[in-house]
Amino acid sequence: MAGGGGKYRHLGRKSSHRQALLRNLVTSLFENESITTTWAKAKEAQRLADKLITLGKKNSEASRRRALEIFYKPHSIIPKLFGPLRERYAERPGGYTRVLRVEPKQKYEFYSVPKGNKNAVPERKPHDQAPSAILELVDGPKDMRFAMTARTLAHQRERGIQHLNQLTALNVRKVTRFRKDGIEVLENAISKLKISKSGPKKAEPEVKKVEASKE
Amino acid sequence: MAMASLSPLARALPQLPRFGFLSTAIALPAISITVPPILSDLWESVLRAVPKKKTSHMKKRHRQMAGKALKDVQGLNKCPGCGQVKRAHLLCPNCVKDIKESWKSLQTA
Repeated sequence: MAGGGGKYRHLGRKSSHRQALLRNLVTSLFENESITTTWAKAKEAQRLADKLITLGKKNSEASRRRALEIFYKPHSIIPKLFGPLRERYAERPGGYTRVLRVEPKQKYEFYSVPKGNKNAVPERKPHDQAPSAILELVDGPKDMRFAMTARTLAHQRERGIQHLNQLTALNVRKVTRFRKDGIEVLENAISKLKISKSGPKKAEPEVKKVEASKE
Repeated sequence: MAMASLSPLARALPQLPRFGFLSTAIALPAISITVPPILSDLWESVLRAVPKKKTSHMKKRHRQMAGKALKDVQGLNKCPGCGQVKRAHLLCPNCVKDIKESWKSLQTA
């Protein structure tokens, strides 16, 4: 954090640019439930996202206006924030978002436009291998830790391992604690994984048969 | 260059009273050794330690990048979801890819 240890990352941008970036990130996060960026951007967007959920939980006219100021697509997101998301996090005392580190993309390309020249052709550049992360809304439909824990448990049960190690047990607790019918949902996810692994080709014709019989 | 060749001359006449026209010689740095005037031509070429050749780009880069080679990745462990090797504290790229694909297929279905 440049210049005398500020309390936030400056992300190499001036204030207005940074603000716009964070608003963009948060808008995408609430729209898609999960985004992948660099780790530093994810951590900064996480601060803002958590505050926005708190606004949603307050559910007052003032908080609605504060939230309206942040989003770039307020008309689609504000009803979501003050509706399903508020209900989802009603019991949870903070920690509505999660940042998970992932491998940087190998062949990600971005376009850089040279400054000052309006007619310049955007330049193709390879990814800089910056440490990347997934920022996600906890307990949502795209909860990566939930999916990963389900995968782990399915993998273990295939091998007949009953004992959970410390980390897996902790993850199970994290993933099911405030989720509605958490353990049930997790068991469903595990059984679905087992089905898809054992025979996805067998399952498909059955579905088609059912559709045919309906007609 | 003209001043440098003048300096041994000035030292050869140390006893002369210092007038205005010699003041430039006095202002010169006092590092150089007294050399007889006959050798003054050699002074330029022989006695100074200077690199003979320009250091090439390759040499320079090699020198400056010494000790900055890529390090081996030591922090590895097994992915609990698929059993493949992955980097510690990072999600397994195979599992992440699989999970994302399953979400995509859910959305389209």
